[in-house]
Amino acid sequence: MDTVIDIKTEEMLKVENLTKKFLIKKQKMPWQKKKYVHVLNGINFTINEGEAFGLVGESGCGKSTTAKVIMDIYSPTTGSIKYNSTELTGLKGKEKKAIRKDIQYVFQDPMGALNPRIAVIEQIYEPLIIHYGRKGHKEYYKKAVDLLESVGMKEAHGKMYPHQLSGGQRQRVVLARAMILEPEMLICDEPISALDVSIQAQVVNLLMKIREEKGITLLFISHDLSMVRHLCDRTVVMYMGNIVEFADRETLFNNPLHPYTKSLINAIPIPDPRIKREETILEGEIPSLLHPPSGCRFHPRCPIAMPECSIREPELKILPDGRQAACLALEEGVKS
Amino acid sequence: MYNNKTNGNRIMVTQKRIQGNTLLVLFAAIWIVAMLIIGTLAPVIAPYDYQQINLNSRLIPPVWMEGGDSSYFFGTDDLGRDILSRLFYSIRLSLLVAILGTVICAVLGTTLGFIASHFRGVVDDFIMMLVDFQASLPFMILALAVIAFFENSMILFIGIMGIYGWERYARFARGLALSAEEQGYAVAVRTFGASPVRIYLRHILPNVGNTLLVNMTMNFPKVIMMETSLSFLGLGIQPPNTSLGNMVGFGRDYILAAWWMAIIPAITIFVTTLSMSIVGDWVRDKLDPALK
Amino acid sequence: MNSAYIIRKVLRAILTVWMVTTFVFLILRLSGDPTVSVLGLEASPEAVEAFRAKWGLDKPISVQYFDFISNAIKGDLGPSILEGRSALKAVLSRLPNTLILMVITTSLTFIVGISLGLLASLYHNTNKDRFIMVIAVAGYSMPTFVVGILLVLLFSVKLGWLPSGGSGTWAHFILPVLTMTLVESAVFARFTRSAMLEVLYQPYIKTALAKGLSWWQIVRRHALPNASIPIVTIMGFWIGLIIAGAVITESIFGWPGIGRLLVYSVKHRDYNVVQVIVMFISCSMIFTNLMVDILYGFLDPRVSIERGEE
Repeated sequence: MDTVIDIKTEEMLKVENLTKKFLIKKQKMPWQKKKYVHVLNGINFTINEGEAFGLVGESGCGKSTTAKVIMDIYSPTTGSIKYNSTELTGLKGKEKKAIRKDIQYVFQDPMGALNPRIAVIEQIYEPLIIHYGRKGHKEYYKKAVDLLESVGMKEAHGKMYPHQLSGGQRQRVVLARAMILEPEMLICDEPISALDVSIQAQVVNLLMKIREEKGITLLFISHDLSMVRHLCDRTVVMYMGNIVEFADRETLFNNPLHPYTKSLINAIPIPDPRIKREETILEGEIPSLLHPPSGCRFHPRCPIAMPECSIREPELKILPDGRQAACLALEEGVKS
Repeated sequence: MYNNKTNGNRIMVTQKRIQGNTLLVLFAAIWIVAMLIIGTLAPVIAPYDYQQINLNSRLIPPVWMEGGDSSYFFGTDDLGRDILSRLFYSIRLSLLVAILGTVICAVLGTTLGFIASHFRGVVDDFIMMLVDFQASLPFMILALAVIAFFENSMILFIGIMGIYGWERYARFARGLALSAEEQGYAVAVRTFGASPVRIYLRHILPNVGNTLLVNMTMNFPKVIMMETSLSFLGLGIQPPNTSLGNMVGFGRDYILAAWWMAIIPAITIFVTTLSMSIVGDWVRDKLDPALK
Repeated sequence: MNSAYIIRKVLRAILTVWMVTTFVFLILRLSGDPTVSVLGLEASPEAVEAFRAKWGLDKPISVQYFDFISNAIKGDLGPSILEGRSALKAVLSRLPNTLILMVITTSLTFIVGISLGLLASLYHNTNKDRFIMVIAVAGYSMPTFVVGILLVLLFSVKLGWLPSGGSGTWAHFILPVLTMTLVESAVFARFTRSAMLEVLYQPYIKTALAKGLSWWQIVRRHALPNASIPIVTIMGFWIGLIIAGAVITESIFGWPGIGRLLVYSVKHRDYNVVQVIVMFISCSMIFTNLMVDILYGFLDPRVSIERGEE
């Protein structure tokens, strides 16, 4: 796909040292200890204006949590999120509401994201009512219909209720609703994983069309690397709450450095059975977040693990070509 | 017990039961509508002033009994007041108190449940502590305690009826809201910057409304029972106002001499609460089969 | 089952007792200074002073609260205004009458309610089931006092067999016990039936049938033990029901128990007696609930894991 997108290098969203822990066991008695699970352990990345930024990893790696913390669905334990140099954490009242307009969120499950008892058209223009009041109902309606048509649906669909639509149509409605406030940034949290494979491509193409037309900044979260490759300019790979690798599209897919990234890329199915490649299928399950492995969290599954890996945790290092990776094997390579 | 023959029978029986029940529900609904009409029109259709004392015509039996007087259909009481008129006014007041109580209670309980679910933490713990407290004390005892310490008045009494069963609404509303909040649609409107009031009233309430409505219809006969019971004890609605419960209460003293004074309102209460239970069960089966 | 579960339940029960006590204190103080209602408006300033000093009403509210709690623990909640003796003694003297009523009713309700509920569930959706349920729904939707009045009409007025009120002979027991048993059995039968039906449609019952166990064996060994769990859990709720029922029943039949004393004291605003009864009833309910919770933990091995610690 040769869409030419002008990537400005202006920073839009800057996430710094983001951590998040969830309470999983309440303190029921004074002598008992509270138990937490650490889902994010210091996440850093910067999304530039206009780019499509990917966030990949297996389920449970914290990618969705990262998005939800940015959206203020969860509050972060520590860390900072800056949007156009405004600090988002701890923002309240009118300022918070104003920022809400600029960043919109597309859910994984479109059925859950839509209220089953309200006609979809009303749900599409509801954000306008929330931000601009009840006046101008007719304009809102018109705008909603325009958007509905721009996502490839008809005005008649607007009068329907979510359960009367197909999964793909529901996700289009969710997209239309996310676009109605004319946001600068769209966070798509696995927007296609709940859809049939046949519909997935339609929704992804729609996302690309929206990007092209509106020049919107995109944060795309997925476990599907082929989709990320298709859509994203730069991508972060996460594993158990840490970033393990970060690079632009060409570098990441042609020359992955981290063994985890390598195995993920190797797992992408190739539609041509004659092509042979090196098989490094991941072994074992993701360890429990309650009892994370010592040292590098990936070492129990890593094909090139060294004794040191179970002792020392690798840091995310910036490599000379600008990409980032966290692996001890690489560190030694850098040194030598 | 589980062989084919009885299974076949069971299906037939179920069909028959549904038909039988529909008839019963119809009768119950007609009775409730009749009560509502009587309650609304009591001042128009009552043949006498319900407070009018006539010592010359005391304890006249109902018209179908020996000594009955055709101008007093249900007879008269110990002060010669017309029982039919008193019955109409009692239905009016009992229904009014029960409806007001039910509405206050539903609003109060639901609001508290939503508040608990929205704020979580300490607020939630506190409201749930109140719920536990309420559940650990029979409501009648609590009501009696409040009436004992404060001067009994109509407003206090309606207020008391307005907290009867609040904990059930609170528990329901909280549980439903907590699970609705987990649903995407509530989270979604929150990410648009919607206020909690909007999220709860426009999005969560309509989605949990059925369950709350069912709870309301199931609770209504209980409210009537509580109201009439307290009035029967002489601690609810006070004379000169009249309610179904205090008619039975005053009639109790004359049960041997003039049984109709107590029995006529007693049967009215019984048929009314029974009808409400039947209709309530029917509404539940229609709206929310999961709730049993 | 483990100790943390029991400890948590006990702590919660203590907390609830404390809340009830505080509630009684609050409502007592909120309702105003008792001086006027006890001494009347024409009382001399000295008498008012003396009264206030005697009951500690001149002290700050925190001290009053502390005194109230410590006196309550000692069982001293002041004298009954109507009877002159200690309120606690006034209540205790009525207690046996109420207890005997409750014990007889409870045993009868157990037998009648559970057998009717079982019968209805085993004959689910037959005429027997429907007949029992119609009676149960009728009993369930009838306020206790209506049942009582109708029984008086039948047995005292029409048939003239039984006294319509009072106490003393065995005949006086019949109508109050019958009234309460009818109402409570309806609740119990309904509940037993639905608990049994829940169990009877479980897959393990079908498995047992497939194994060739006789129907009675299945009911006795599989259905009843599992249905008994929800039945036990309503005991806590049910004790509240029976107490409220006793208040009404004692009032209808002039039975000299604590229920009638409560109504009488409320009417004549005998605060201290009301306090004692409210605390007494709530403590016994909280205690029953605590016992039920602990028993529940023993009956259902899942409970202490689900609700307690792993």
